[in-house]
Amino acid sequence: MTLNTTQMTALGLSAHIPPGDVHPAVLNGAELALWRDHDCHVHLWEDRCPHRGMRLSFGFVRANRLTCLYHGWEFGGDSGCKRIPAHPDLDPPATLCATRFPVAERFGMIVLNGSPDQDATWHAVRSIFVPRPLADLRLPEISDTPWRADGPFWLGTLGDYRIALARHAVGAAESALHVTTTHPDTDTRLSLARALVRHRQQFTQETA
Amino acid sequence: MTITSDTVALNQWFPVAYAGQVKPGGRLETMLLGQALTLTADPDGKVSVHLQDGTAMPTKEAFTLVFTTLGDAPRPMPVIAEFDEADRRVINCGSVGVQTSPCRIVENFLDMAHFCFVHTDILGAVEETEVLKYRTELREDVDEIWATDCKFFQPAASQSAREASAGQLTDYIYRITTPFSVMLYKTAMGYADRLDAICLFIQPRTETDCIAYMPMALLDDVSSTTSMIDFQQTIFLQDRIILENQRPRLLPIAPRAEMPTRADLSSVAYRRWLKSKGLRFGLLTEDAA
Repeated sequence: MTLNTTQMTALGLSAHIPPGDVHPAVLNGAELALWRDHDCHVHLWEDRCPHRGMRLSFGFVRANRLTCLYHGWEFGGDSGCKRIPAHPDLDPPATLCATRFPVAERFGMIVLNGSPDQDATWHAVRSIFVPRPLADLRLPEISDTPWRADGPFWLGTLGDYRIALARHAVGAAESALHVTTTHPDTDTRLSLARALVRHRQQFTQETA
Repeated sequence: MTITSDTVALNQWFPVAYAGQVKPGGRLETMLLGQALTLTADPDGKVSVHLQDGTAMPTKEAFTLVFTTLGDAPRPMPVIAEFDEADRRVINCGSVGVQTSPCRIVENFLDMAHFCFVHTDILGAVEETEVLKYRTELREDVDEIWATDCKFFQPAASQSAREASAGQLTDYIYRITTPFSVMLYKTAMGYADRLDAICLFIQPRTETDCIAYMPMALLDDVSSTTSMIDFQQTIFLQDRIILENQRPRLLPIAPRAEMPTRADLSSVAYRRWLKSKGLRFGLLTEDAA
């Protein structure tokens, strides 16, 4: 698994992973599991149980632990295995743990190696997959003002509100684009999401 | 796809079809270890196996399956006497494609710890998850790994058990008969001293693309054949969800690549046995890791 954990990379929208949920994510071909515990903390792990390799994104969250679907091994937020059902009396050694990566939430997105922000409430607009390499992507024209770079993010405006955009490489020929906004209005966010889908359609047709 | 150069894998007998799969006068294109094969059946239904250049390959029919080998000195076929016992129902459950290493499929078949989670309320119950101590041994006379003294609480151990009771402590014996086949013996309903025999033979098309066959020799005069096949297929399709989502797909045999526990004694013995044979096909070896 090759994963650059020094680079800050947005992998998805915070709103897409409610407490108690687990989802897969792919970054440059590396398979990851994103899950949120009942205290709202988000976790980013390799999508592989250390026991027999089962993808942990198929597991389920119970009592703030991510449980593997295959043998029910329970992992705590520190990624250590807390319980092995085949041996209920065993206290699992600390060496039994999933591989975890640093993660934080910023601009309403889940960010590998990120640092958190608390300055505003961000709402989901949309994540879309684009069947093109990351380097080929263009910024969609959904901001009132020119996009301003902020690390891996692009920040724009929508009247008095803000828009944030980030992209990541899923694989060599596929990318994902994530958009959030501070705009509280649902219809506004829906029309932004439609604009993103039109942007993808136009872009993929032009580059076909 | 090119044929593997792994002589350990080449020198095995593999299933390439189930009996009756190729209709009289019919043909079937398939693949084994990366080698394309053509199966044809004569008017009597007898199957021949050929390479693309027309070379005829050896064939055997056993355990409701058609076997062939690509090697010059194949390991002998396992002896499974239960298939010759007149009072058993010998049933072939068809075949199921599975996108993973053949060795992952063998390991899953040996595993009792997943019953409660993958086969919930059938082969295991969420409140009875413990895997009790069992024994494994290498039987040198036949070069097979056996796991014995296995016991597990099962809500519905088989189609006949499902109809008869609300659960039982099932006795299991596992036999790893070749690197790519495994079988189990388990408590047969109504018999104190005889066991059902359920086999798994794998046809690896490639290192991570397999066809699994499950012939059985059961002691059951009650259940319909359809219900017995349905039962096995239900179980196997539950396993397939797991098997196709294990990473890496190749079975890693480097120490600490995966972390076993006491319940994995048979899997540890299997990996050690594969390594001692110098097998590479289907494995992620230490050099590659």
